[in-house]
Parts: sequence; C-alpha cells; structure tokens
Amino acid sequence: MSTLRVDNIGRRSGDTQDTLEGQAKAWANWNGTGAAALRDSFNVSGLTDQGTGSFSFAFTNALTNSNFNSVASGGQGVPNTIRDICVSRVDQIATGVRMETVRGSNNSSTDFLIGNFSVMGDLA
Amino acid sequence: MTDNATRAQLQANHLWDRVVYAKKVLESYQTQYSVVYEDPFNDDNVAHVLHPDPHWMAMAMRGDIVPEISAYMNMPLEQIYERQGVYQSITTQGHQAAEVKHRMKLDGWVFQGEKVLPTHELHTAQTMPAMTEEQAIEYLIMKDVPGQVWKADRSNRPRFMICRRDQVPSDRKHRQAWRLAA
Repeated sequence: MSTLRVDNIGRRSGDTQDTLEGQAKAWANWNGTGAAALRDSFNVSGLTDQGTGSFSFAFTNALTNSNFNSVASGGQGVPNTIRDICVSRVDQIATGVRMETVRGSNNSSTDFLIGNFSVMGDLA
Repeated sequence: MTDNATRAQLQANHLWDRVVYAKKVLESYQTQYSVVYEDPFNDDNVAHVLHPDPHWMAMAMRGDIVPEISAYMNMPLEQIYERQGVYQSITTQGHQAAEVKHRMKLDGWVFQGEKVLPTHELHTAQTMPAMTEEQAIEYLIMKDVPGQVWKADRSNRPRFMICRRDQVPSDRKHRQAWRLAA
C-alpha cells in the first residue's frame, strides 16, 4: 500500500472552486460569554454580538448564494452541566450567517462559553 | 505562494487563496478596539457590538490580501422574495441589500434567498496596502456595519462608537439592556 503525503491538492485544469467543492468555506469557534470573542476562525472578518445568545458572522470571501449548508454546536465546556443546548442558524445571507444559542428545555436565549459553526457551499 | 509573497503574487490570486495564505503564515492580531452601534432597522433593539476577527486584522495589517472596500460596497446581489405565491427578484448592491430586505419584510414579503452576481469584484479588485490598526477598523466598519449606521446623510446623530475592548461590559447579566450612550 502507498501513502500519499502532499502539501497541496489541485486539478491540472480548472479553478479554485473545482478543488474546493465540498470543503468548509468558513468556520469559527467563539466565546459567547463576557465581551464575546472569536477564539479561532477561518474566512470570517468579525463577530457581532447582537444580544443574549445572538451572534452574527461576516465572511471575508462571500459565498455565491445564501443556499449554503451551515452546522453549529455549542456548550458550557463543563461536564454534567447544561445539556439541553441548541445552536440554531436563524439567518443566512451570501455574506454571512447569524446564530442563536438557546436552552432547548425552555427555548430561552443563553450565552454559551463555546459556540462553533462551519459553513459548506460554493464561493462567490 | 511563498511565505513572503509579493503584492503582484497576492494580487494575481483568488481572494480565497489569499485568505488561505494568510491563515497559514500570519500571526493573528487581537485588536484593542470594538465597535458599538445601534440597530438601524429597530431603534428599540439592543446595542450591537462588532468584535474584529484576529486573523482578519492580521490580513488587513499585512496588506495586499483584502480587496479594496469597493468590492464589498458595490457587491451586486440578486434577492428573491415571495408574498402570497408571487415571487419577486430585486437586484441590489452592498449595504443596500439589508435595507431592501428590511423594507420588503415590512411589506409582507418573505426573503427566499440571494445570490452574488458574477460581476462582483472580490477577486479582481486591487488589494489594499498595509493598514494601521485604526484604518483596519474603519475599513471593517464599512464592510460589516450597515451603511445606515455610519453614512453621515442617514442620521442626525452618531449611531456608532469605536471603543476599547475593555470598555465593553464583561457582565452579560443585563445584556438586553445595553444601549449606546447619547
């Protein structure tokens, strides 16, 4: 069996979009407590704290349309604490996405210590 | 691209490739600034706080990676709306998109989606030279804060404030009561 060890994968023809089809185009890990902050991210220019449990993210390289896939998760980072968490995507446009973090049991907006999302779609 | 890519090399690449390059070679930079602003579409809403991304700040301060702001301000978008089975397509630009979306919502139209038209200039616009931290914040305001907030002809009072990050309250107990001080 052979092992491929490469730094870059690309097509012999075509463009960036061909190579990247199916890869995450943006992601972020943020702290929603205190003065909110991004811990790490990719293709995100900023985090906007819009109130309790409401955060929007702007992309540096927009996606080609708003019909992209976004997935998110979150939590308090401590075992056996709040488990009925829910991070829901409430709005998405070609240039960004807005997430809400809520307690599933009572549908109340809550600020989580850890929020994550990733987006898959086509680049503009 | 090499770790010390030149302006010409960066300019010749897709914005996405420049972002990938920056993530690989640049140290993130945590700015001391945040931007507090009012929701231009709902005066009763709580204050919004924009926290710049440290990787984006590094790109802006490195230079030759982010495009001229006009690439965002003039980004052509086609939005689709639906009301009672009737569909409507509206072509808009940059910050106008949020304003159109708000107005259409008030008129009972439901946003169905939008797409960036192929005439956009994200990849072809000239890249910005290295910016200072303050210039990068000004650029980011124009990119990510609704134009209705910062355009001088849209309001007779300031609707945003650049502040130090440590001036933003760390206690979120009363987050829904945050307002921009007059």
